[in-house]
Amino acid sequence: MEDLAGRSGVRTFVFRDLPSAVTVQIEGELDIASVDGARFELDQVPVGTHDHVAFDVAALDFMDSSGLALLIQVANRAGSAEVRNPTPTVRRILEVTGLAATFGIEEQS
Amino acid sequence: MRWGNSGGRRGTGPSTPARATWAVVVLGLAITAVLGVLAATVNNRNENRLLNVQVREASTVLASAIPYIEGPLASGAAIAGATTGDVTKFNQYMATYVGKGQPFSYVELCAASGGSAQGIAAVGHSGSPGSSESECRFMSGSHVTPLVIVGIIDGGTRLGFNYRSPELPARYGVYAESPLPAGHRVSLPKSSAFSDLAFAFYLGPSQSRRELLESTVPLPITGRQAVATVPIANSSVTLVATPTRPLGGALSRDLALIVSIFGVLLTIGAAILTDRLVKRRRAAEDLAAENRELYAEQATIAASLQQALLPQILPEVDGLRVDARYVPGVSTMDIGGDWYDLIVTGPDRFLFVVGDVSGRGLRAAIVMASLHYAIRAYAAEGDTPEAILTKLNALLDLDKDGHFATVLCGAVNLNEMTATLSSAGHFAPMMLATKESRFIQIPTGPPIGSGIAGDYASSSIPLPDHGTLVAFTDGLIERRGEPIDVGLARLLDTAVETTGSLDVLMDTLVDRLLPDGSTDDAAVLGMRWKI
Repeated sequence: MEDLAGRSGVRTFVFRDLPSAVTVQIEGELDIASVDGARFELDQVPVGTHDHVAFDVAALDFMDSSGLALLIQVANRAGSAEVRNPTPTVRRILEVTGLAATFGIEEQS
Repeated sequence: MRWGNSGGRRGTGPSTPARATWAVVVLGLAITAVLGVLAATVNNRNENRLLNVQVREASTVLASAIPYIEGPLASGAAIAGATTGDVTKFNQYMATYVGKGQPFSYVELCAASGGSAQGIAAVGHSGSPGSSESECRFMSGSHVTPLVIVGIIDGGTRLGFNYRSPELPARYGVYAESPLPAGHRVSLPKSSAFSDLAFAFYLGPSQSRRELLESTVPLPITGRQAVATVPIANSSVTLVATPTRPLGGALSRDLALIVSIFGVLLTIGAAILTDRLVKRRRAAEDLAAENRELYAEQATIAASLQQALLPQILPEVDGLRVDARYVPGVSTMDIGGDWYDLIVTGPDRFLFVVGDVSGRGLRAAIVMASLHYAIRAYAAEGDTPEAILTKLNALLDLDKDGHFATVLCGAVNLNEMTATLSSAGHFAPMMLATKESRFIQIPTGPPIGSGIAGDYASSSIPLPDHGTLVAFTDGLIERRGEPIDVGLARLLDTAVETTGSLDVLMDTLVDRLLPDGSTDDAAVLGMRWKI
């Protein structure tokens, strides 16, 4: 479990708690400036098609298209993915981009 | 960006010292020279000073030796006077002062009678060939001082003295001879306080060979010397001294050289260091300038690209007013990936597109260009919005291209008054009409290139007789720390409130919705029909 210092405003914690489950905890702001650091952390824990990835974004204050790109990339590598504890902002972003179902979020009308 | 050593790029090769280096060398050598000269000067002054001090001391010692000459002679004359020329008494007394190791080698008592004088007693051996008459001739002459130095006699082997009592008339006087060392050479004992010096003693004020009394070194004395004159009786002794070794010590003498060598070494070291630093800095500056140029170039290319892709002049369709705005994000030189397009597909028919490529920079702009032109190609073939999005999705791959895009595509038919809309992860457009203004509900497929499975569907809506469609990108409504819905509501409210022409609406939306210093770029496309 490693942590990239908040130089660019994001802190990413990746841990594999079960053989086929990976939890990614993202805190702070995931945007074009900080996405490379987060990607580096995520690359340390390889994710395969047998894995289920859960993004815990309770403390994610902001996410832009670059941040979303990272989430999509990891989700594509895994067998399945979900976003847990989405803030209203993250929820809406996923709904607007038509990705709510992909990340296991029930749409609120 | 280029990384690497470009030190020799601007023509100053690594072997040519920089100008600053020469300056350091010159300065260093100048300082060294000054310090060296200073050290040498100080040493010189010091040596001279010490020499003069020692010579003065030597003069004092010399002067204090005079009584050892004058005393015995005066006493001898006094004894003779008191004993009226008692020869035995005189000889007895003088005997202790004559001989080896004694001041005199010969002493003669002269008695004056009438106009002449002659020797009546003598101790020792005379070296002068003259008779006692010539030796005692001084009794009748005038004497300035009781002790008179006759001069160097006997081929330079002796020094002659006359002593005559001061009271007149003088009855008794003494003639004496002192031996001068063989070859006029003496040596100082090593323990002597003056062992650092070499001396020469001359009789009288001149330093002529004839008047040399004795010296400790062969003549002539060259180099640093000091001269002192000690008055003796009617004459003087001139002493010339020169150091035989550095009086202030070897270190003081060598200091100038040490300082010079050290200074030169230091200068060389400083020069080398300066050269390295200057060269390195120049290389760094060159590199920085190069990078700035390259970066500016890249920014210009990106900006030009974007300008080319965002049509300023939109095609005309009968009964349609079209207007668009693009506002780039503030921050850096990087450009964003937002774009819009309007493609006429037939009389009273057109396709409109608004898209947003993820991220920023030249790559995003290139992706945007590719999508822009692909859409035009598909539109020219008559593809429907959902077909266009499906085909677009096959063109882009997030993993390979590093970007995905959200795209809204709509086909409007002003004959049938319908609009068919399809979205790939993009906001639905806003419809403004007298009866109702709202965001249209459309099915949303996955973003283009996201690699996420999903279909693109479309929904057709009827158009009111008069209305305005506004399509936009998220830069228009998103603010950090604020839920999207607040921004969407703001957009709708502002649009509903604004009256006037389409470009008034466009300007108002941009003015009211975009916060100052927003980093995201924003595009908005407005279409108003049946004006």
